[in-house]
Amino acid sequence: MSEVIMEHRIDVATDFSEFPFGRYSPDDGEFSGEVFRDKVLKRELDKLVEGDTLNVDFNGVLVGIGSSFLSESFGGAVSKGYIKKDDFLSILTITCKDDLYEEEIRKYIEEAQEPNE
Amino acid sequence: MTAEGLWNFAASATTSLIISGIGWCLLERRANKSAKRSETFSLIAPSISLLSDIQELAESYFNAQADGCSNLHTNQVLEIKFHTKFDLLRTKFAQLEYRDIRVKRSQLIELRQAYTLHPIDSAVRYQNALECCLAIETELYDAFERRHNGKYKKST
Repeated sequence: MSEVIMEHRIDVATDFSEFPFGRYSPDDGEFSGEVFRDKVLKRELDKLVEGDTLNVDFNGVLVGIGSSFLSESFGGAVSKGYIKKDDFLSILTITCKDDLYEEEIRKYIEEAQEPNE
Repeated sequence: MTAEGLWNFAASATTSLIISGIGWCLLERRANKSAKRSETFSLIAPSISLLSDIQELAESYFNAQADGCSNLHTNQVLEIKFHTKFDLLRTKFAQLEYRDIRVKRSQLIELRQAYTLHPIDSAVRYQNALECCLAIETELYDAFERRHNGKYKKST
């Protein structure tokens, strides 16, 4: 029997924080990109099987999201070896009223260095 | 009145009507152009003002870092201020897009990165933040000139 293809989903506002901020904890508070990457994003990435996709929804975030948060979360997931760059780019979809975020996130993933590079 | 007289009268009346019609069309076209130009400029002016506010924010960021009074609270306040201004700026730009005045998406991403990717803790980063604002300001004026001062060609 073939496995069911799933769309995993992270709602940043409810699963993490309505005000994600900064790059590292504790300097940038408890809801930094580093914490999001290691506690929320990695958990979902680990669940992925072939054919699954991952949707990250930013719509509930109250204010804008800083580039440091995005870079550390998404670029950091590649540089920490949580997922390969090409796989990440193909499975990831972003839901956000502001479509600039998706472009920016994809840029961080593309520019990230994989651990063995 | 003879037939020739009638003919002359009709011809001159038609000519006058045509000339006044052309004149009216030209005036109307000019008035429309002028109205569109001033409408567009009335959207550019607040965008420039927002960019100035964002430039001032860069100074606040930099001063907070230089004075050593940068902490989580200050940084969060400054970043929230930035996002608020940035969102407002994007609303203005969306309105300008309807009038064929466009700012490159890459410039907007660069602006956000200049303020939120790293702390503005050096003269180089401060200068970069200002330059991103100035680049967008220049782009706005250039796009306005292209659109309203004859250098504009409608994109296909």
